[in-house]
Amino acid sequence: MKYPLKTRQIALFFIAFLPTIKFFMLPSVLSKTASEDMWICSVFNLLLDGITLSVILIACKRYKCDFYTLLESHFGKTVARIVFILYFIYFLMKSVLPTIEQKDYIETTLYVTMPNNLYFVPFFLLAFFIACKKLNVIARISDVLWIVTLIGVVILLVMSTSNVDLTNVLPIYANGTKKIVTGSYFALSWFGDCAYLLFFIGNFKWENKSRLKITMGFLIGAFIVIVFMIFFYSVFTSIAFREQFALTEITKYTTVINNTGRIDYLGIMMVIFTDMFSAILPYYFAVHVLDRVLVPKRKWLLPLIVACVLIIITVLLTEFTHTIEKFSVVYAGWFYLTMANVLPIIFCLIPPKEKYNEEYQN
Amino acid sequence: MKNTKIKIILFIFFAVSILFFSNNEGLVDIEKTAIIKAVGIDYINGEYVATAQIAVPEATDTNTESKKTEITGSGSTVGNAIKNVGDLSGWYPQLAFCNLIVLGKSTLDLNVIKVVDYFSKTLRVQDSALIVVAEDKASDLLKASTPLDEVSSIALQKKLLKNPGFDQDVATNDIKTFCSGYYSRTGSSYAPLVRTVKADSKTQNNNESLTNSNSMQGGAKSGAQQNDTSKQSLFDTDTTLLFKNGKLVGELNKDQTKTFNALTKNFEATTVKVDDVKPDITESSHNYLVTIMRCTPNIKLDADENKLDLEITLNLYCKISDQDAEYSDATYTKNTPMPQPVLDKTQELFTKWVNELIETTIQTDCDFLKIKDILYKYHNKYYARYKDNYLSVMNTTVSVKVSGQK
Amino acid sequence: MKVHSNLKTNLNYINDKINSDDVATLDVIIGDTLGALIFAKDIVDQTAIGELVLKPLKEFNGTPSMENLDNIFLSPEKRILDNLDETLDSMVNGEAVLLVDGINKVFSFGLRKFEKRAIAEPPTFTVIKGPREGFNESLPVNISLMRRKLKTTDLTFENLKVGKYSKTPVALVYVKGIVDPKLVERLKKRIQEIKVDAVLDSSYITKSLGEHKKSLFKQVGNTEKPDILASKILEGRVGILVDGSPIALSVPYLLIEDFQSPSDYYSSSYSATVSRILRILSVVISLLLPSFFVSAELYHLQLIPLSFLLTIVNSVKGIPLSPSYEMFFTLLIFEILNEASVRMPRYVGMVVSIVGGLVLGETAVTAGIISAPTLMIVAFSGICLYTVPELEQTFSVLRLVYLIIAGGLGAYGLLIFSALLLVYLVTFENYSTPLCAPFSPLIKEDLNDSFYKGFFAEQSTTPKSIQPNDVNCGEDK
Repeated sequence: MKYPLKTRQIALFFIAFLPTIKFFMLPSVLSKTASEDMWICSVFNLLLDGITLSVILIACKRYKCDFYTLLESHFGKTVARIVFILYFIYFLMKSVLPTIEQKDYIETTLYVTMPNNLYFVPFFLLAFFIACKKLNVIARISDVLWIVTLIGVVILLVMSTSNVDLTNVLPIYANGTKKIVTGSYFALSWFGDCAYLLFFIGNFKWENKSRLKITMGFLIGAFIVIVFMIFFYSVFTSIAFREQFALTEITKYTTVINNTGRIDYLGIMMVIFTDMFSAILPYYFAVHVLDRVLVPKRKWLLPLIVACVLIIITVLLTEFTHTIEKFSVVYAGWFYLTMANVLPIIFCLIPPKEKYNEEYQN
Repeated sequence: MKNTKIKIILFIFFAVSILFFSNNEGLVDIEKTAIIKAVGIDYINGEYVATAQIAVPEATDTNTESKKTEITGSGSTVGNAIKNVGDLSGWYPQLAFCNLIVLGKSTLDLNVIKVVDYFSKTLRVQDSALIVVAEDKASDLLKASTPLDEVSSIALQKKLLKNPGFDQDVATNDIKTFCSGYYSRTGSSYAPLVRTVKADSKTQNNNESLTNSNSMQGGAKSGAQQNDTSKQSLFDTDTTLLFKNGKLVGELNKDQTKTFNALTKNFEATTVKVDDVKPDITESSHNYLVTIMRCTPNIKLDADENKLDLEITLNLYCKISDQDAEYSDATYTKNTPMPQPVLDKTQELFTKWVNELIETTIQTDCDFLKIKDILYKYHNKYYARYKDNYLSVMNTTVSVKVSGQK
Repeated sequence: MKVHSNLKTNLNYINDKINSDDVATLDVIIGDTLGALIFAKDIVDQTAIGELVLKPLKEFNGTPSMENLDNIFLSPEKRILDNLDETLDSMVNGEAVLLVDGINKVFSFGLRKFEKRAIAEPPTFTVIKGPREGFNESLPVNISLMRRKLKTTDLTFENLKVGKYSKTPVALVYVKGIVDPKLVERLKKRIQEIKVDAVLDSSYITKSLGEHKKSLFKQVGNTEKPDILASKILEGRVGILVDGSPIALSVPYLLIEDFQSPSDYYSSSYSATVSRILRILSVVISLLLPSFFVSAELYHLQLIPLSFLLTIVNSVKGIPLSPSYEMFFTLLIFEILNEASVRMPRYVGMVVSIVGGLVLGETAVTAGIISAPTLMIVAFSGICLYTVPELEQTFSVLRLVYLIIAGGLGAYGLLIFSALLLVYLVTFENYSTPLCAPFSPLIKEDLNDSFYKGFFAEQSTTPKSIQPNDVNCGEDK
């Protein structure tokens, strides 16, 4: 049997895609809620994701079939379909915020004048192109992008060190559990990356060191996020909540910029580059899960329809952007939590059924 | 499907080509862009008046030095005033290169954050731009002619930016730090005050030679400037203005500013005049120029239920750079030991200045040393207890240790 | 048609089929029997015919029969044919054929004598250190060069013929035991399926070997040097030698191949690594510099350092074209000059470079048609691309596409297009080999000879990127 993914690629997937999406609006949202404890909110979210990851890894080891077949063998076709449609809605909702973030970021910081909405349409072309490909495209991209992410992040962090005062995150846990939990709740739409792993079940060969490799990848990604959050708050302290686009803000106080211009954009461009893929990931998986349920003859039809829906939500309904953002951050948290953490844990802890054993173990 | 793919690709390429060749989607004509290097804000007759110093490139055969021009616009808000600059000139104001914000004296009557906030919030201006306060009008400061550079804002930045020998005497601040001070628990910020000083005759002579050398590079453009040297100014930036909740509450003089820098920044190679010291009982008094080679500050706060102790420690390592006494063979070498009386006098001076800083803090309620932040970070338990009266109840101990070559 | 025992019938058939002045028919008398020796006189060694065929015939005294005649000829390459069409084919391929009355077989002697170029250093692969010999247009010579490089019984040549009219000999060359047999079969099948009138150069085959017919990217490697082909087939590739072409092909192809210069293997690892990184960097600069410059000028002035921005503003004053048009036309002029200098005779080529480089460039800036930074950027970009000449055509097209996107959409467009290109390249496979290996899929072992060059001791193993099994393509089996 040929697998589209390798353990190494899943580990690199977490390094490549986990951090960058959290470098835009999230630090500002968390700072507003939890001030100097904002990084602890991220730790909470990552801890939750880490637990989910370890449970999903049990399923990865246990099952040789994919997630849909697993659901089908346990609960029947109808339940499998319902769950997959729920995941379609989840991924579709999850893809809205990063797309809007990226659009806002590009419009506000990259262009001197406000560009036409047309400038953002090619993003969906890229999304469509990726969504038409099989699962191995994610693996192949991860193989290349992890190093781009790392270099970009290192450039950003190194250039911001001159302004970092780590004591600014003190005292730790000053704002109490409530604010941290609220912050974590608001951040749920940016986290929950382990849900992707559900759809890797049965698509890679479980090896002796698979658990270690994937966990290491996740930990490196998580470490980058936490360091970025700490650096961000250390630089901006009391005005952190006002810095809507953390990415371009963190580096510009370095002395070298006075002499050479904004060379930090080199790192920023790298991070935007990987973020484009990170923002496309939920869309890709939305198409992927719907494709598994509907199994259309024309493979390009679903990516096209989903892309059109996203274009309508993110590009055409610009006057509702604030409402969409508020809905994603404030109200949809429970849905995100259920889909990204609760359901995967429940599904993955269920012991294999006889029907599954008959089909796959022998 | 394969042919459809090619058709789609061709269509997209065609669409992008139209954008390329039509050349009119959101782009900025580089020639119509005003590259703003500095902005001055005054508040006159209930309106904000923005003076933008714009770089005007001027090509000659051998030189592409820029000249500058100042354009003034006004409006009910700072953003409006800056937009008005563009409206009046027909140029698109490009603020990404604006490195200096000058607040006119008139803005100090307001809450200055009303002015500064615009630069902090907008992403079109780098909030790493430096902030200063002009002794009079910001526009006058930007229009001032100076022998240091053709562009006054660049000349001013030379004094403000990290530059050994200068920055130790200036409490340089940028928009981000100013705003984070304002929005912090202390509500305290600071900015250097810029005074224009007429260049004296001696300086003018030097300046003339400087200008002459420029004119050799830049062609015949500086002839008019040579005739105008009597109007040229230098900038004094030694005084620091203190703000509490956006309102001007006090100022630090040159020595206090230097001490403030010593306590808050990595401070190296600055000089202090130590006058009237008797190096020996048998000798008469002499004046010395002492260079601070290393500075290790420490602001420590101890808190419990009953008391709040602030301990400020400043360790300085110095050497004598110059003296008005005759150099003997022994004192001429680099590693000449520092005479104890000079060390003592230096220590005495710094102790006095640190005490003055504390005094100013208490008097103005401007916590520019961020003592409240220290209380919050390290004694969070007692923060609620002392946050409103910490300046009045704290006991301060100042310990300055000055050492030199032994 | 089968060979008839009657000589006249056979000759009539042959004369009907071929009526060309360069074909000579020599009547020979063997004992008391008539015979005819037919050959294309300009491609056959006539001295050898006299010595190895006619002289033994003259000395022959017996009765001419198949058995008696079979052993008298001294020609080392001799075949017995029983089909007249086949006889004609071998004749036009440089063989001399002997027909004897009363015998229904034909003797065919391989006594070809083609004019061929001497072995010389190929102009496209010059090296400072390392072997200087290159392939020429003769397939036997090229085969001999390969044999000389790899003296192993595992080195195998498989001959095929392609072209309805040209019937060009094509040889597959590979090392048994290293190559994937399935790859050889797939290639043979593909080559045999090629339906063209003539194969006049190996590039005719290149187009048919790629699995993605409309792709802009190369899918088949090529070289003019036997040492490079030898090293490629030792890595598990199949070489393809085409008669009449000095350029040998190799399959499967990896993108990194063209960044590996022959001189890398004859110099120290350190200098080779530096050169390789420079090549990769040059290509990136070449692709992105003009487009990035245009996008920064049009949309993102803040990305340009202030002092440089002032220089640009100075230089574009009075230029009638917008930055995008200016760059586009300057690039167009560069491409035209490039095209002209390649096509023109050498002595005119010098004039073109002087006129193009000095007169056009200098006067265009002075006349205020284009700005100096644009000219400098185009020139630098052009030079950078020539660090990897094999990819010049592909990347010059991409450079134009990038430029149009930069002018139309700005830096974000550049990022999107780069992402599209990345996705396309990482998923691009030819003969089950990913084009971007060993980077994507990441093959740790092969990185040793990718953007850096490891030491030889570390390179003794065959690269996994091009090995047959799918495990080596990065994904599990």
